[in-house]
Amino acid sequence: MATRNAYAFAIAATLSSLASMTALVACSSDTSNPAPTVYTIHSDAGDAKTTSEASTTSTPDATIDATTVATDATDATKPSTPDAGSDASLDHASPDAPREDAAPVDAPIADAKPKDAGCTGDGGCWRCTPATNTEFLNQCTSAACTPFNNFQRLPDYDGSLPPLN
Amino acid sequence: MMNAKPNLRLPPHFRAAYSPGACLAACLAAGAILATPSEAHASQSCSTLPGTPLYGAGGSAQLPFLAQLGTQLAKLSAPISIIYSDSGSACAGYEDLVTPTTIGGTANYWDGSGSTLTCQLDPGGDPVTFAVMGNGPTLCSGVTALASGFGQFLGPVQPVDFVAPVQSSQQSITTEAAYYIWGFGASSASYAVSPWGTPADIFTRSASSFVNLFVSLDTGVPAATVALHGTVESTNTATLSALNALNGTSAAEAGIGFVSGEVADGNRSEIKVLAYQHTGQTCGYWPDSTAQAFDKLNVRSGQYWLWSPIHLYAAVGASGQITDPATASLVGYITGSVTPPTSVDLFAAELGAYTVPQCAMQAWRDGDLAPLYSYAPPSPCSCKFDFATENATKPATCKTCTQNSDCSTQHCRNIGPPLHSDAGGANVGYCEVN
Repeated sequence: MATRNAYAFAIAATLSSLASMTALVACSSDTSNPAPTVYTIHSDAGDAKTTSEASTTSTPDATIDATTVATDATDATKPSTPDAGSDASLDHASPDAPREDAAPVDAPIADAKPKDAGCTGDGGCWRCTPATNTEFLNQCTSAACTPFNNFQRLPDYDGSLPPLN
Repeated sequence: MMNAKPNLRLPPHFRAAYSPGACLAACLAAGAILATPSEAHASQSCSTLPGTPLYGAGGSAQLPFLAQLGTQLAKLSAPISIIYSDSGSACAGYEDLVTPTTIGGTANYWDGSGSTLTCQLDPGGDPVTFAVMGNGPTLCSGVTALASGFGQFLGPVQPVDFVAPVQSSQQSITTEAAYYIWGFGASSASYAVSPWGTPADIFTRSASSFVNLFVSLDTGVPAATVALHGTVESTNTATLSALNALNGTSAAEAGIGFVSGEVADGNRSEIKVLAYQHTGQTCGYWPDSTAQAFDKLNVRSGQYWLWSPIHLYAAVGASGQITDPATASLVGYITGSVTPPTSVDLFAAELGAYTVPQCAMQAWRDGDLAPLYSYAPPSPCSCKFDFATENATKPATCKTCTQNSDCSTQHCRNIGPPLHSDAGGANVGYCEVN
């Protein structure tokens, strides 16, 4: 488990680092999503800009105008109506009991690497209909975003989390 | 009642967006109903409130939604008075229902004026017929399954937000940063995340509150540990007030906490919502398309990780039907299984509480922070929601309409009074994708 999570965090860390250096591409993968538009990545530094500010104020290493890529995915799945009773039967660990390795749950593991290069937009965003957590979280989008650099902000962070005391 | 604090706060765009004659006017023209409890008005006995009283208990995260709906129901010709205790926590309210345990002291209620008022419960306590949480019961300590004889019903979706004083310059946070902050509480420089390095300016909640449980589940920090690190606040609104108190001080930059999106969005003049970057995510996203928007674009698409539908609980019979008729009506209005009186506008209540109707979701999950999957509502309202929240980047296919042929999607839905004064016509619909 610890190895698995360490792997996940290494992937996440790599992706996070890339995000701070690379322009993400805005795109849409669902016809019901907003039409793609150019957007701006904001710095996570203390002097973060608003969208409008960012368009006129340069922040050297973090404010990056993204380009636009349109997609025409129309193959959204049609799952059933949410199951009202479903999560009552889930086997969640007691929140008061420390987990096996106290690492974040739901960290994308096996699906962290894009499976279909044709679905990967510039900057690594996912432009097809998402099917995994990683794909949902990294969809190409018209939304603004602001990366947070764990390596710069967290003390002695090397991609793994320190054990809780 | 005279000293009640009106909960009339509304984002500027909402104030500008809705025409007086619009279908949302019933609750929004009167102003947004914020669930900040009024000053004490406990001289009012809860049991003598007009109409049918409905006693519930649960978390404070959902108070804005209950305020919206409670205000509408109180104005019916045959009024329903929702009487709700959030004095415990999410899990405490659930336990009040399933144990069962009567609630005492004071409770919130709504009289139709747009204010959240308080009344005095009976000296011997009152039994509750419904409970409300943001999470499922198995996140509550010691609970392994939904209690036998009770049903779970899901309402609109709400995010959980990391928030800072509005004067903070901070913009985003990661799962890992939250792990440091609430796992160690800035106990030493080795674990302090700048600028959130002052233990007293980190705010937290009890281990039985929904927002704590979600931060715990998300980060892997046990809920009891999350509750130990930071100044403990009793409700979402208390966290809001504590963070707001840091504005105008040198500590504004150091303040951080977590509250429900319902509470956060009604108070953006006091706190700011931080973009959230989940583990494995390449950038931090707000629940909305921008920090200023209210469109919940990223919640709806699944790009924002921390969200959950409002969970309601009630006693059910063998067929799964809620046994108490009045409770069955209330829950049915929320889930859509019971048609509400014509003057009750559930969409308006959901919108006014900054929640997302299920019909506007494009992603779903089956359980607390469970894996995401694409979701196509049977009767979608994404376009209507986009119009209502003035989503500047709504799809090109999203237009107003009066008939199916007006839409390239051939689906003109939700026809009714226009949401906006410039929509034109006595009744308009919205072009939905299916």
